[in-house]
Amino acid sequence: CTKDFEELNTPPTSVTDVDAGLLLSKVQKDAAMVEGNERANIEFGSWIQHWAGGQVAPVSRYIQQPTDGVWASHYALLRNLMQIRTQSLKGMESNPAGKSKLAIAKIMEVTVWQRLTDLFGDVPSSETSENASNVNTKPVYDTQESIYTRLIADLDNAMAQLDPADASYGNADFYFKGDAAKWKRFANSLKLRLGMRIRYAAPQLAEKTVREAMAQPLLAGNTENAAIPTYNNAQTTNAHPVLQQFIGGSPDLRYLADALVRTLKTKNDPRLPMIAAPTVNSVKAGTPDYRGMGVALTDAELLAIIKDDYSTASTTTYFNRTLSTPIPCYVFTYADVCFFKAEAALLGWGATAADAETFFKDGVKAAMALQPYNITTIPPAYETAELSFAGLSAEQQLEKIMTQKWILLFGRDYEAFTEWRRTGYPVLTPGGNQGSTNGTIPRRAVYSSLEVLLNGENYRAAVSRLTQGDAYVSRVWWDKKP
Amino acid sequence: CLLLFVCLRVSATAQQQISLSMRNATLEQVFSAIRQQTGYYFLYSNDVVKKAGKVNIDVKDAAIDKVLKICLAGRQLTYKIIDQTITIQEKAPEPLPVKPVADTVITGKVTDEKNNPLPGVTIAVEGSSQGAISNADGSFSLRLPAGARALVFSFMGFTQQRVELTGATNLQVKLAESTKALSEVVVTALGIKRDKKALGYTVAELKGADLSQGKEANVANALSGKVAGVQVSRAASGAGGSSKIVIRGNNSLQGNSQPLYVVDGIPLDNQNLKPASATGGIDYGDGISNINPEDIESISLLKGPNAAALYGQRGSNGVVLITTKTGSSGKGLGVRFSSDYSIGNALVTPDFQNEYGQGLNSDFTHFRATDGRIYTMAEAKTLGLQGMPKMSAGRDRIMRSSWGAKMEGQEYEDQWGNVLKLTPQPNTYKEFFNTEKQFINNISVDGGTEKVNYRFSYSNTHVNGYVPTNTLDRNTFNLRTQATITPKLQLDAKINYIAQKGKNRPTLSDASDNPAYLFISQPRSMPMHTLADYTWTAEDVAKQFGYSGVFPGLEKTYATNSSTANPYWTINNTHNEDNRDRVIGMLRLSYDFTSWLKLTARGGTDFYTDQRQRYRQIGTYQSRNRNGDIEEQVTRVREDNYDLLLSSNLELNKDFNLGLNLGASHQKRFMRLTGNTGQEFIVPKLYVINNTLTNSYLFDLQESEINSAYASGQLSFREFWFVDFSARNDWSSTLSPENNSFFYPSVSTSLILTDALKIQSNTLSFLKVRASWAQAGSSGNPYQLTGTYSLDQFTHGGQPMASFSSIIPDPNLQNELTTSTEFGADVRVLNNRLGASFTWYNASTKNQILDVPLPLSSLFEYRRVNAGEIRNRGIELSLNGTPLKLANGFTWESSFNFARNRNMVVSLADGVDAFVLGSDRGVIVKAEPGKPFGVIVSNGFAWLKDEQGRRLIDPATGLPLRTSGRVQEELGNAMPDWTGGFFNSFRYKGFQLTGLIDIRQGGMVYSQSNREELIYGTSKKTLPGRDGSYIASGVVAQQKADGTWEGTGQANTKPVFAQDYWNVVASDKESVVSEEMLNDASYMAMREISLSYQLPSKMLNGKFIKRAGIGLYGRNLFYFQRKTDGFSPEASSFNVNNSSLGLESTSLPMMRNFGINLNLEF
Repeated sequence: CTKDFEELNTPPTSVTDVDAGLLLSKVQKDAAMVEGNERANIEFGSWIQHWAGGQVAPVSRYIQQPTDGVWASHYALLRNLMQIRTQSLKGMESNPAGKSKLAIAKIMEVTVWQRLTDLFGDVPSSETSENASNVNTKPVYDTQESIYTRLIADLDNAMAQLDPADASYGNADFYFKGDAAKWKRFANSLKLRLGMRIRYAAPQLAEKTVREAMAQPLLAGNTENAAIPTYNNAQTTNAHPVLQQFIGGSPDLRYLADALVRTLKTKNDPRLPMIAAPTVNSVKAGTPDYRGMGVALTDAELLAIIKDDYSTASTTTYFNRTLSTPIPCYVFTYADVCFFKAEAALLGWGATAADAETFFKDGVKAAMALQPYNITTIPPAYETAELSFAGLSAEQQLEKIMTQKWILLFGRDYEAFTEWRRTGYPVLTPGGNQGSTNGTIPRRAVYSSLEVLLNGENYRAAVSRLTQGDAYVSRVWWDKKP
Repeated sequence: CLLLFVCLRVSATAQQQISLSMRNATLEQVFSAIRQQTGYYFLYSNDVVKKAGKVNIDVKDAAIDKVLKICLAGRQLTYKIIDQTITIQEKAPEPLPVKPVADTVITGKVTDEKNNPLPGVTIAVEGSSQGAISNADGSFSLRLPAGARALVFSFMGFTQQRVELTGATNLQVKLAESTKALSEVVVTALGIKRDKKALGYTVAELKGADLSQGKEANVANALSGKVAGVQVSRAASGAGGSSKIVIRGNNSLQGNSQPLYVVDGIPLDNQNLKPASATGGIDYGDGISNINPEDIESISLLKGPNAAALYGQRGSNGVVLITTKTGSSGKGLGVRFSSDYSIGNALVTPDFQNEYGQGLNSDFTHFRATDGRIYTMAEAKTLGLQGMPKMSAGRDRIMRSSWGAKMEGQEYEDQWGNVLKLTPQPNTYKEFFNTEKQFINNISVDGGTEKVNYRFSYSNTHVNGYVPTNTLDRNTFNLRTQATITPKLQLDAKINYIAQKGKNRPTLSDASDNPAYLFISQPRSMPMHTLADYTWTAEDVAKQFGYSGVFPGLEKTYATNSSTANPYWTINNTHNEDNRDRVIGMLRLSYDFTSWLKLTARGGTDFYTDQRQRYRQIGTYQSRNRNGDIEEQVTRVREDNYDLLLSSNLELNKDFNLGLNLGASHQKRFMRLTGNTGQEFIVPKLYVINNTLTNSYLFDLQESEINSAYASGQLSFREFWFVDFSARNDWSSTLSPENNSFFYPSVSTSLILTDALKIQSNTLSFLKVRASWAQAGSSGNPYQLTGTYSLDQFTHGGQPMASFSSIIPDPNLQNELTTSTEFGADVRVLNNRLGASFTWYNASTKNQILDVPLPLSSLFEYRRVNAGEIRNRGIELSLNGTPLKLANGFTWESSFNFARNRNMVVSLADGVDAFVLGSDRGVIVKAEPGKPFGVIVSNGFAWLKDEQGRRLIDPATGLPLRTSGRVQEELGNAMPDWTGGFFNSFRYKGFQLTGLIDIRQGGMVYSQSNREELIYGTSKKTLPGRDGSYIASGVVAQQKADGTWEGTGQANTKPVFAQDYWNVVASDKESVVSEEMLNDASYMAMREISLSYQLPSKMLNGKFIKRAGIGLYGRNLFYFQRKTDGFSPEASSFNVNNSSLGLESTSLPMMRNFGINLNLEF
């Protein structure tokens, strides 16, 4: 009488094994989308003053909260990548049917780990579960330093493992359609980023890593950008994350920060109307104008806010559901690489200081050419005023590079926050609200509250290594620029 | 006079031969003499021996047997010699000769001691399932089966009487009234009727009449306060919502610890499909709310596994056994009609302040100058502008709280441009909400011939809810028939059809369209009529201030955020509707092979279809792109149960009786959900799924089976010592083949000391001790063994995506096992006038199938394991008595129950420190080893305090200092210390007045409503110190060199504005000092008062109407004690699962109801 039990207890709505490609697609898409959604915009996005944050978003007013969501989403991405390794392509490390696919999954993993540690500092990494049947419920926190060392090594190994002759992911790979050569350049570009990130904390390793990367092929043009395509005519989940915010988010959280709007305005940046919308009241008055809202406002400042005097994101581009060419959700672009190369050149790592300006200009040009700007000709006045390094000190040149990168990274909050912390550029004035940080801009994300509850001992050990505890004001290891 | 045993001791040189010569001696003197000669002990009761009178005896060298026979000759006494003890007892009456009476029709009449006819008396043929019920004039008629020896007459409130069949065919039986029936027949597991005194575990029984006095539409709520150890709570959920019963504490971390409901032997599906959560949702009601309370004959509560082991799987939380009414044989047509009408209003609403209006810093925030421009108030004052104050709209407390000017009739322009006067609006709840109206009609027809009886009932319930446009309609049809097909074959069949339709049930908890959400933070000066115009007009748009992107036709909300819908829009422009069609059927056949062997076969089914539709019109602020949405889903649930039971009753010898049952059952459960969600309507006012821009599917399917075999038995010795045992093995489809078979036994015993020791005393009427040990297993939900990938519902540009389950499965899961031990005693004294029942129990649940939470850094969220041990240990005490009983018929009956449960989470899984039961903004409720279930932990800010626990006050600001970030610290526990009930009933002639007080002491509840009230300054608590005279309690702090603070010990005296103080306590939804939101959930409530009058039967003699009665009642009337700030502690949760334990989230108020009912019998 129990013979049909097993059949009866087979889950009817899900499967127990899937193709690795389905997992890779999921990871690529989710990892990209999470960086530019409303949640990220009112937190990291407002700290780096792209977005004004909300009047009621306490995090944007520097009131400290655990960053549970980011923690959860990144470990979920890592879980799916682990499944590729431990189930879908298990044991295929030297089999052409799986070898390069595994290398690609590993490169993806590096991107996720780097983002996670950049935001939080020390995180459980080497001791997280190796597979679903051997779960470590109390993983220790690795130091960020050790994580970086490992990630660099992982990239080298993955690059060595990539072979264009192997089977690959094809259409399931949103970035490069399974093109192993492009993956190699992407991985090498990531290596450049890893190296540069630690330049103030571990100069020697940084230099070595950057030099190695500079000597190998890097992403070489906008056709090699890693990005997720988006769709305006399908489900909301298929739309660009900033557009998703417009469709499903709160109207109170759509305003841009004063720093971004003012910078674009001051520089006469041609991207301004494609990033910001003119204020409602200025349009009503017949004199369309752009104005950003302050960040981390005090109660008194909030009282004086009249929303129609401020700019939201542009309703012709980011906030436009009918934009004919949807904006791809960028992950890592040629422009990013150019700016890193320019910085490397300033240091003389793999290029000379004289190359810096060229790399920088290439970067700005590539950035302007991206969707939704599509600016192929930079206005000469802009080029003269903004893109020349003539007469500038190395530090001033760095500031220029980082300011352009900051504009490039609109919509990529995590990377923008990280690069700002690393270099301190552009110089941002914190908002007036004291919050939990004494009125300073947060320097890291606070660990998930579930860690306190469920992995307390290891959590406390990690927190003891932080100068000011598990707080916004503590700095991660690489955040050491004098 | 009482238990007085005399034990006499004699010299060591005992003799067997006795020589005695005594005249006119008492038996005691004789026994004393015998004892001296023989060394035998005597054991007897004083009064028994005294009654025997004097004896003369003259024997020489006689054997002891002979001497005793002479002594006791002609007396109603008998003796027994065991070892060297002689027990003297009263003789059992001589059995009367058995006459062959098969097929004889016995008629007769049952009356009380005053010859008033007693209708409704159960007349059972002893040892058979045959029987009858007396009709309105007390008469009855029944045909005897073969071997019938006696009839047993039982009736609530009267002593059961056994009448030997001596050949007479017409019986006049008088039943003696008792304060509590001495011999109560209760329904136990598998529907087996047992004499309550024989049970070794606790079974509480409630009669239908006791339940329906308060006319609760959901019968589960009617159990509140009535039975020791049974805790009833309900979701604050509008008409037709769910209830939660927990018997003897929570023993399950996941799920809800609710008992199993069994109706006429068939388990009822009581799940609350898709309950509300901390972030919204609707309570569509549970299964038990579908049962018509008027159909209920009685309810037995089997508390925990001890009583319910035979229900296995789901018996571990206890069982609520419901027996419905049947017709009665040999009785003509009876028609009963009852009608009930009640109205309800809020019992507790938030304690609002009515002094200060919308604004900030005791002033208005903005100003509309005569030039038409809007300035801040400060600017306007500096510039000396002409115009009037202007209200703003916004998301936060700065723009829309009630920290403004004193309301003195000042003229102002509101955020939409209406020019109004600033006046208090004390009645926002009354203006918006309706009086709840409930109308229930019930008609039943019953009757029967000798061979067939039947009962048909129809009930109609209509509720107009407290929330406008919320209605509930329920029609139930119930037909039950019992037939004697052959003298040996009995049939019992029932079909119950329920059609229920709910409309516009309110959304609960932290969600925009929870109507209660608005009122908590609504500015105290904002009149409801400005909200009643719930759609933006072009004029509003032109004059608005504080909004952005609003347009005519949009829902007009008073705040700009997504979390405060306009309730008038919600009730008029959003819609939900649910239709449930349910059939519960049962068919039972029983065959008596002999008078002692019976086979019962039973099949039952419970299936329903739940169809739900919900839409929000275009313009609904909360919907995607303000474009409306729709959801439609259909759930089919079915549970079938089949069982076979062979039962025997063997009289082993004069002293021993053995009942043996052998059974097997098969259970099959099925649930399938299909549905669609559509976003953004294309064409207005067409509410179908295909009229949406994008839509997605809903789908779920679950199936499982359990096969079981079981045996149970009852061994009794001379009707005073009883031993029960049971054993059950289950085979469950939800576990792997290696683990899917599991066994669990139970054993219990009871000893009636008063019978065993032949104590016949007016002081001690009854004394019983009992003990029981039992286990119950459970196998969990289907599909828990394998880890799975789920596919994303939508592809991305045609590319499908998949992700792996965040729960690590365990293919080797085993069954859960609850082991429970209980001891107890029942005593009745003073001629049964006062009774007490005491129970101690200890139940522990091990190997719970649990999704234990993992730190996400392990890569998984949960691991499914057999984990942990939860222990519930407690005592229950109930007292009942008749303090007053007068000759004129006035009776006062009173009962009190008390239960104290100590819950302990003994262990969780290896390496797991805590289990999160539920969480909400600023708070986590968890289970942690070594602590009781329901630890409330702060997840917000905490006060900085000195070593003596005094708050540190910043000397510069005069405000208390709080931690810079969030901290987790234990605040309290959600579980009560004890619960109880106090019931009183007064009867005089046809009048009856009853009252029930429901008590809960201890336990905390975290209130999200309080948070909103404090942020926005809407409650009375925020009034003191509005003029800047608020002095925060605490000690002045000083900053140390390292930047940390320490106390100076000096009390703070610096006055501050109330607004600034409360802004530290609660500045926004996420930033609160959690301990300030904690409330003591203790209460003592007047749960029920009812007054009923039954017309004297004499008046109706021979009339068309045979019985008539009328009743008035009130429910949830008032509190003697309540410590919560602005809500009812017992009805504050948003669902009936553990996830809402200890959490209040902008709950709808609990209703205070008044009603009237009428019942007639034809």
